[in-house]
Amino acid sequence: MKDLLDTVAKPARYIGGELNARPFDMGAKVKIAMCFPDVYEVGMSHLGMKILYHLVNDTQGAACARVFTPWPDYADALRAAGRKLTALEGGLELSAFDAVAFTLPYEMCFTNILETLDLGGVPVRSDDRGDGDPLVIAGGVCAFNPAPLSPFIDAFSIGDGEESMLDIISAIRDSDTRSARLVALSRAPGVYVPALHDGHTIITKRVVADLDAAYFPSEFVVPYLETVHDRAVLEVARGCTRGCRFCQAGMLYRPPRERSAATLAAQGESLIRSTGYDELSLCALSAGDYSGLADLSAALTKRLSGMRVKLSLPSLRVDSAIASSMGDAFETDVRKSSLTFAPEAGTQRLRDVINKGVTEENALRAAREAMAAGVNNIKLYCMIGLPTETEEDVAGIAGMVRRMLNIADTNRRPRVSLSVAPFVPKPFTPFQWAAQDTIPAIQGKISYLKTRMPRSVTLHWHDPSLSRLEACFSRGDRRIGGVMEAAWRGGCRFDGWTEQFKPELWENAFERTGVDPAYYANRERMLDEPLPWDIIDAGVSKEFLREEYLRAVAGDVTRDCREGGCQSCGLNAGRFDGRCPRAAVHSL
Amino acid sequence: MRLFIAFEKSFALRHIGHLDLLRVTQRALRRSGLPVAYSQGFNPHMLIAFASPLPVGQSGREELVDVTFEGYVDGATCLTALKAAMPPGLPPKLARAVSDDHPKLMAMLREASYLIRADGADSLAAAVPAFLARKEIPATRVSKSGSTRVDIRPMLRELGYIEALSAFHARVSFTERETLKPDLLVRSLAEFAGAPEPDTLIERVRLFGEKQGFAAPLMDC
Ligand code: SF4
Repeated sequence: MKDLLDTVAKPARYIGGELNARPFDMGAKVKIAMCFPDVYEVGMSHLGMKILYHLVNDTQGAACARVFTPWPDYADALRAAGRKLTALEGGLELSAFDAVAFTLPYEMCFTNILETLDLGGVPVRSDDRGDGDPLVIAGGVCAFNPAPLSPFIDAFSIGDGEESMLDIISAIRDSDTRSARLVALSRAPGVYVPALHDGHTIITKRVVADLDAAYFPSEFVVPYLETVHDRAVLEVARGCTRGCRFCQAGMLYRPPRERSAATLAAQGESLIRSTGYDELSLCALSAGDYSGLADLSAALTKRLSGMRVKLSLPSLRVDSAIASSMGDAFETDVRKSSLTFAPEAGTQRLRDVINKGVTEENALRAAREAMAAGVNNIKLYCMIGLPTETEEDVAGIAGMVRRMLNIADTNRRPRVSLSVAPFVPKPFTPFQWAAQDTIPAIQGKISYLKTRMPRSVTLHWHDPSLSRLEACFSRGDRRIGGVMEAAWRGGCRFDGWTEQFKPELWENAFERTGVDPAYYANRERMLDEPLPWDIIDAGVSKEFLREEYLRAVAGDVTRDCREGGCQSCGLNAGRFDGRCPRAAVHSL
Repeated sequence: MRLFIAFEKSFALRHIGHLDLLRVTQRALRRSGLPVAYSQGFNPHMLIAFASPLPVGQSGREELVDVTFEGYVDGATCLTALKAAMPPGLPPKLARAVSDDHPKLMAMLREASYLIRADGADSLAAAVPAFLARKEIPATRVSKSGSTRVDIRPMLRELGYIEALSAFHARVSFTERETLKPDLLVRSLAEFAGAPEPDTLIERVRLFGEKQGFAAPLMDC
């Protein structure tokens, strides 16, 4: 009588059929399963996934269906019933697709890739796949170091996906056998096929030069369940020029490009009309830097007047006057009366090391202004274990929090919460050579911080063993892939979810495979040491990153290239006719 | 002005909860471009009210919602616009204009009818005549605050077995003071027949109000 879905939590994760979901064309020559290696509510909030889903479906001869990793209850129920995971559209098992494509948004979802493939009836290792099996493709931020996942992924798409996806579709459409398709893929620019790679050819990332011309969907699928970001989203810009030295996205998404206010306003209107969302959020690594904000806000006001749409920015930048430029054209969201910002470090010295161009003074001023405007909650984000950090820097976090508590002249105090994350060195950042603190060192710093923190402050911290794992994945090689498989076979999945993370099983997997996590996480790399991701050209040059690392250690700041002129990060050399398309300022 | 709108919550969407349904309906109304009225005040919200939230796991053949519009909207226009705006699993069926002072759906609600598919329904069916012949049907209602004994016989208006569908059809009272939930009904029947409590799939077929002393579809009340 009952279906499997009647027995699991939140069955709406698995039923599909939402507003604007596309009917699946069974007759399409190229069938792609677009997979997100996390649960539905997270995956449905991911902009890249939305773009690619609609892009493939809008391409002649191609059909795309969505897949999200089933939560453990449903995964176990499927296995117990001897059933395979099917895509939300069309009901095909993963093994019946031509390609199974994964977005790789963060390292802690890696085991979910193996879990999803296995549940869908696809052999998890590339070597075990044959002619009847789909190609397994992956792209996104974590594809820039493909090594740890290369035992499992047939082809990596490096860089912006909009144009690359069309090449991938053609490669699949124009060949019939698995091996011919792999050869065709390996010839596409920006695609890395581990099985066919010679070990030294450089794979250059794809860059969409003109965001205005890039594909963007006119509608989003509107979920039944409330998702993490349940609203319409515009990508106002890609790339960031601020040059924070720990930030991988800031380096990977260079060169900075903006969409014109006119294009965005049209996209915003069509999204609002097709979805019925009452909230439109502007998204970019640093949305407050978008140069056309005033124009965009005016154009959207005109197009959406009377539709009661709230315009929201994901992060209020400390040193910009976004709020005033937005005017009162849009309804403000009264529920969100909190100010979030990330000074990342507790002293000016360390903020200079990481090149975070925020001073405590402007942070305090922004907080004071926000308080005056009725904001009561202040959320701070800091890292510990940053290169060159001393006890004084850790104590500095507590000092800054104290001063934040005392900003109001009256007896009204803000409610302050502080999130502390251990620093994780990432490929293609100036800190890619740096060591991560050991788990005991991180624990020591957290306890030290706790003793110095005023009691009224809520302190959250990331599990240091999770951060160590993230460091192993991010700078890992193929051997880390082996550890990952062992851990997954031992029962690890959804590692990014605290309640699902099983550190003992991971310890066990490292031991059994004879891999020492400290070798990957806690060792400073030599500047001339070959790195697993050297075969990838991410745009920023190794020379620039090395130079930046040395400047960091010396405490020298590097200016934002929109203000201080080109810093020759590498994007200017040998492409875009030698001119970096940085921050071309658009107007209506 | 106000319109009563009837829509179906299809079997495939039985797992969608009431709050999710509310959000989807609000979005569909916004998408439809119909001039829905909003409340005044600091945090304005759409003026819509469902007759009765449908529990997670149940589908509904004729769920009702009361929507207030700014200005005049005729039923046919509303239905056409909503058909294009609602997701496939929630097709709108009917729309009917009512006056501004018409009673609220929830206040008019008296009864509900259900189609109940249950494991081993055919064997339970044999017990129905004797079950209905009882003067009193004591049952245990379990809630968060504990369990209470109630007599469900007065709340049970109709109970029959439809062989072609292998399902029970039941009409029960559905007011604030007296509501008989279909799962409690099935549990009591199973208990009476000496059978274990079966797994069920429940569809709410229709909501009823009262017209001239008789039960009438709520949509017409
Ligand atoms: S090439 Fe120059 S202008 Fe372009 S992103 Fe790099 S530093 Fe900035």
